[in-house]
Amino acid sequence: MADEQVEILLAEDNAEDAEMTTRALRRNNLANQVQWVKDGAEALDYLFCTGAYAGRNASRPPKLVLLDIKMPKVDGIEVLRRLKADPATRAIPVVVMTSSNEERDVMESYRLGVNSYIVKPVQFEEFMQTVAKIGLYWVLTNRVPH
Amino acid sequence: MNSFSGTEATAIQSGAQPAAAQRFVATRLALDADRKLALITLAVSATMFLAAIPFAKQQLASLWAFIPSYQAALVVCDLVTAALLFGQARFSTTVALHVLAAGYAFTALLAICHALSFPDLFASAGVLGGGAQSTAWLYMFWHGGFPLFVIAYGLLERGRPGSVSLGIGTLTGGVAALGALVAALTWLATAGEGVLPAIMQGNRYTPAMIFVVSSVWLLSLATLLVLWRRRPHSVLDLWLMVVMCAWLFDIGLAAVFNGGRFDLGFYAGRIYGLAAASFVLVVLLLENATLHTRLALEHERDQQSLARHAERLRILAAIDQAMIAERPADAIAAAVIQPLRELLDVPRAIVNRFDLASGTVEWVAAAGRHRTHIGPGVRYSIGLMGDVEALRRGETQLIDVHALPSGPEVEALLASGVRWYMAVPMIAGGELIGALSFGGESRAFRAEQVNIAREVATQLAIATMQMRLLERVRAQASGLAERFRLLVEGVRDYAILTLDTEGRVTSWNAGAGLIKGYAAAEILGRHFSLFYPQEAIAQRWPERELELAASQGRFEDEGWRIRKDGSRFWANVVVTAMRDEAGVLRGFSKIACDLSERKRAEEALQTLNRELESFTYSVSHDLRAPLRAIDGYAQMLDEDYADRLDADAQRLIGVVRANARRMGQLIDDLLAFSRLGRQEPACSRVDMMALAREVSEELRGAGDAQIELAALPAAHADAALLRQVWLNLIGNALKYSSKGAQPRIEIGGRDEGAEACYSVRDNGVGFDMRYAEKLFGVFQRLHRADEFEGTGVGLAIVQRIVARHGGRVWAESRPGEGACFHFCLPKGAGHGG
Repeated sequence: MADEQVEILLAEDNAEDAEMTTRALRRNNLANQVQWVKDGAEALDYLFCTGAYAGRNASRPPKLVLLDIKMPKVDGIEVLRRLKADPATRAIPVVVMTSSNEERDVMESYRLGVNSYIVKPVQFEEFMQTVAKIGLYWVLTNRVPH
Repeated sequence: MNSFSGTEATAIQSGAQPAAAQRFVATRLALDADRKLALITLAVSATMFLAAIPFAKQQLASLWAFIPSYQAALVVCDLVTAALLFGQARFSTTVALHVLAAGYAFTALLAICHALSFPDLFASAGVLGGGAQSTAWLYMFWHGGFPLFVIAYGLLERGRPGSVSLGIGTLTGGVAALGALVAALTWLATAGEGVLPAIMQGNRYTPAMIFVVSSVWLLSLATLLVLWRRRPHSVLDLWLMVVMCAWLFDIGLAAVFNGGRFDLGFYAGRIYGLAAASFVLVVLLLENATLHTRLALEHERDQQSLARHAERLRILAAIDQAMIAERPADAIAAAVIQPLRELLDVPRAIVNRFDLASGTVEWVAAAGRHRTHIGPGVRYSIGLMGDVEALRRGETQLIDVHALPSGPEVEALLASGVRWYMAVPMIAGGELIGALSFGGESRAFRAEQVNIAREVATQLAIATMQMRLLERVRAQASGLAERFRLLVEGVRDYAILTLDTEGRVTSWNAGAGLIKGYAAAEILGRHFSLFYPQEAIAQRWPERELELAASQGRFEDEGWRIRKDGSRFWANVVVTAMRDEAGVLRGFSKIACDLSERKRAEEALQTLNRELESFTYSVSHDLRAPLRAIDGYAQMLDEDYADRLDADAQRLIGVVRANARRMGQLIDDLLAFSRLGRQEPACSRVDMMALAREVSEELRGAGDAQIELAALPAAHADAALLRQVWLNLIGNALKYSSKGAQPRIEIGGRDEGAEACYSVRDNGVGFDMRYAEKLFGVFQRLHRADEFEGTGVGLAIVQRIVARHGGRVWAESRPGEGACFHFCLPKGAGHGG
């Protein structure tokens, strides 16, 4: 937990999915600064520099948050709400990557201001490609305010 | 229908002559009996005449009193005869009879004049004056004039009664002429006496007399001849001839064969004259009496006959009325049996009913002189009715009780005085129902009796038939009504009830009790708005439903209803107006079903489907996630450690990956298959050519398979599902022909009238038709996984989709010669799903 610029915050409770995601990102040279948190509470701690991440420099938010919805303790929707409610973190692009295709989750996410909603592909190859696309777009192509 | 009583014989005896003409002497033709009587009379007269001739000149005492009494009798006779003849003439209105009547009147008048002029009778020289010749000449005029009238009568046309009508004027004129003639002749004989030759000298006849007398005599003979020639003779003609004979005898004795006045001839002749005058009178009077008696008898007979006919009609009318009033046949029989017996005028009459099966006969009603027996009871063998087959043919039977085999019934019959009876069959509708029997001591049964009995028997048979038919119809109707009631009653899933025109419940079935909660006893008669919630009643919904049903015949609705316990249920209700043949509203029928269950079931089903859907989704994702990891990590292993893995290791990794992918495919296929079971096809017009081309392009990809697409008819189906079908079929075709040198797929279709049919043919490996049934089963494969990959669900999906569209799918193939898969979809909307 250095003061390295974390480009991507990955909130994912499934270790395999996390590993595959990281691998995909790395393959596209996007994984240098990937912070993986395993649940919503940890994600919030990181984003708001609380708890275990109290010492983090709040002025350097991640360039992208990859958010799973189904997580223990605090789920993705709650994280999203908190994130988009706070002016300090509102501008951070959030991409929900989840296995849930339920309309209600989609609606709620967009209502809360999610930037993109992706359903995790079931095929490995596709999964890898999708992650790569997301990373390339949101990290490299997209511009965020400083 | 001949009713002959045997005593009315005139019509038959006289043959052609009308009855009216027979009743009058003047017109009745002479019968042999009349001729005989006339001849006898004539014979007697002739005998007496011949006997008297030799003694004609015998002088006898001068009985002056003889002449006036004789003349008076003569005048009276002639006048009465003239009057009677005139009466006959009024009926027959022939001139001839009038002339004859005039002749008799002439005779009477001249006789008066003759008497008045007779010397020393009323006055020494007679009252009328005149001389000694007057009386004699008057005699001649009298005895010569009458034959002239008779000749005139004989020569004139007989004519038909009523053919001539003589008016009062003519008659008065005739009478006046007659009077004038008489007066003229009298004057001639008295005042003009001198003109006439002398025929009397004192009381002796002169020679001139002989000439005159002979002329008069010949005149009478001529009259006789004229009458004789007037054929055929009526009775009057006959007696007139007798009269003329007597006339001849009279003149002969009184003027020819005698010498003068007061001799035998004089007396005998005048007696003959009187006799002659009375013949016709007596005949007329006797005929009148006979006529009167006969008429009275005929009248009485006619009255009796009329009364009988009236009674007959009354009985028949009574039977008809009773039939119309649908009274039972037995009651009708009981009511008419006694009047019938009296009408038939027999000691006993019985209405019998036959029981052909048991060969017995039963009394329905019986009447004797003193008693009437009604109702069931007396039974006896059908043999007592005679030849049943003959009865069946409609023939009446005449039964001789003595000829019957003896038995208690026969004894009873004889004891009650019945020796002979007639059995008249009662037949209706071709069936022998029974018989009417009547009889007594005598064997003689009149045709009239038999006819009356036949008529009544027929009517009773019809009444019985009608009663039976009515019974049958009633039984059928009530049987039907009962069956219907049970049918309706038995239905438990629907409430079937009827309402009267006001809306009150009139019938209630088991289903109504179950659905609405009320028992029949507590709901009958109450108004059906009881089933409606308050807000519906407030809006007058119950009444409006009835109004709509009455005006449109039928009204269907869905809405809330209230059960007895107050709970609500969603009902589908159909109210139908019930009308009779005249179109008059009789009430309503209402069929309701409780849709709450269905609604709940539907909602539950939808919930279940939704849950199943999300469950399936989450399950598939949860199942797939580890697969992704398996496949992914295997690939990562392969990528990262490629240089450290030998070929076998890599092969092993490949197997791991292949199986993971296969499992994923399996999950997808299973999910798709299960989703199909719940989905309703959303049908629209699908361009099958475009769809098939699109799928073919997608599947062929870069391969070298040749796909030929013929013209395909459009289908009415769910495009997305159809896409799946093409995907699977074309995919299979490509897969199983991929190992061949020149894979070739032919896609075709044709319009088969009610269906649109399509086919996909390949030239691949084919399959053995023996296993064709397994083709469309889930997880059924006819090739090994290492030959051709596949989950075995694809064709099951195809079959399910096609079945949901109401179509059918089948395949044909030969190993090594490729396969052809066909499927047909029904055209048009509204197919089964």
